[in-house]
Amino acid sequence: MLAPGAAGRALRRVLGLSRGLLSPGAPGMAAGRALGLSRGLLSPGAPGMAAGRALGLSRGLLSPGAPGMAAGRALSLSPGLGSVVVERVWPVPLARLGAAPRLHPRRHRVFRLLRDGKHLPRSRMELLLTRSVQGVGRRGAVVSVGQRLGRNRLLPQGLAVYPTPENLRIFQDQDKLAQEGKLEELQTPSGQKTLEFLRRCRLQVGMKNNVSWELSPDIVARHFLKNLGVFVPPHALRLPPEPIRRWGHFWCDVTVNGLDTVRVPMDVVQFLRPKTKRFWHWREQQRQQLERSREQLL
Amino acid sequence: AKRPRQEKVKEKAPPRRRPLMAMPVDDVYLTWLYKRPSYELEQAVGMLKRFQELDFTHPKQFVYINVFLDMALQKKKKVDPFSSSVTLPHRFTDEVNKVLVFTENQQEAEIAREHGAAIVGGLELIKWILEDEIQADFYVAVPAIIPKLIPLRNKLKRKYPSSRRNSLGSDIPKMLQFFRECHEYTVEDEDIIKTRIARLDMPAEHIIANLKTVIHDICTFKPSNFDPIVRRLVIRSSTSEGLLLNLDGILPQVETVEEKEEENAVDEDEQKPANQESVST
Repeated sequence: MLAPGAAGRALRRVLGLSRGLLSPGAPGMAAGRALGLSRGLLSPGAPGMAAGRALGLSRGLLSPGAPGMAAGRALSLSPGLGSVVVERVWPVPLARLGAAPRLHPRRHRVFRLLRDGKHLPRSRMELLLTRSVQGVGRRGAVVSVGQRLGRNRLLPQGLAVYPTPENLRIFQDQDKLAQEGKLEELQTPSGQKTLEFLRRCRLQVGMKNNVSWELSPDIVARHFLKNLGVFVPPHALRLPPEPIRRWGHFWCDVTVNGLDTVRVPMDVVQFLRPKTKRFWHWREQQRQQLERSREQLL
Repeated sequence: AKRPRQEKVKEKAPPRRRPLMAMPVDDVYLTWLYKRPSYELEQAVGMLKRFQELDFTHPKQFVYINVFLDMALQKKKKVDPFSSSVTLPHRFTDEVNKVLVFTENQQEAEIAREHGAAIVGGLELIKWILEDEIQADFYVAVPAIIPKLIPLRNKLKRKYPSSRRNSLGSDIPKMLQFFRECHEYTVEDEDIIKTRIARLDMPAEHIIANLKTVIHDICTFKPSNFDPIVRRLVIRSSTSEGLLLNLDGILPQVETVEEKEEENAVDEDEQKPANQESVST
């Protein structure tokens, strides 16, 4: 499969730089890659290459599908994260049939860099999820995730597998079931944000002193919208069992999307018309003046 | 993030993996992440009434509207800030405007006093007005006395009697009745009109009728072949927040365009059978 004839013009070495990658591949490759950037190194992997130095790959082809190179990286279409592809500047003359090419000690050690994998943008990988994962997708979905997430979390923890035809067949039936409605309900990202906000907030309900009132879900929903800017439908609210008729500290439960519930502390205080900061500052000053004059008198 | 910077500014919500739409997906949501919702007129009035119940506020509070105007005409020209009076179909306040009538004729003065003019007089009023001893909301005059009222032009400015504003004429009772019960509004800040239109305890149809009268009157100030003058319409009561309104059913322009199309269609239909008949014969 490696055409020896092409060795003359386009000779290239693929030197693998290992960065602690756990690429599920041939152990021989891992050993070869671990030796770093030494150009005299043979590219490991293909059996034919162990003997000679001619890698007969044509120049334009970075065929990742070629089993020789990509045997370890199975279905990932990228040529490898840290691959550095170089090319000899001066062509190596063709040798006799069966003989290794004779390399000049200086001329044939001049290389030209073609591609450095570490400077390319990180591409994403396609994975088939086996469980519903928050922020990624549902079980049975083929998602495109970043390589970091896929290799460090999803694949080691068994949350996803590679989307081979066999795996896809297994999850095809699951897909039909899911559509019928046996979905595990996941909280939406916007719902997550709402939950995080509600966990941090505190509701202040201003009620008047000249009317007799009782707190109802409608009133609390209105105050959520007015004071905090959160729209809560009354059916998603649950108030304490005893009716609230006086000022004090209470709580209320908000259910987001019917999945998660947050307990929001609620203070029922006297209703005040909205006042400016200037007004409060002036009030504070007045109070301090009064204190001072009181101290002087006493 | 791989998303370019420009998209962040254009989107209405902060960019996330799944971009947020104008309509929220969940039942509980943070309102500042979505576009401001706009309501239908009847729905908005119903909401204002509900707010009054929930907030325990005064039932007889006023309903206000803020109208945001598009004053641009073609080629850098603008509509001047105007002020106009309109008779609302359903009264919401018992206050009557003070009207001052200029007339030399005794009979006309009698008629004016009968019909409820606050002040009636002739040339002696001019001096008092210039010295600010008398003030009225509206000034009405007969054509005969206009040459003598010229010194008041600067003083009265917009309120100066003129036939365009229906304050100059011979039919005193009609003018008086109009000005005593009319509702006046002006354009502030070159763009905005803020007025009271109704009370919250009036039935919803009355509030809607009042609002439509005001909007139709505003729309007469810009020729209809340009963009509609009303850009945004916000309704509120005196204690609640403002609700953005859908402009669809309120602006008069749409109706005239539709009427024209219907007329054209009707004319074509009438012509077609006529043609067919002529051909057959």
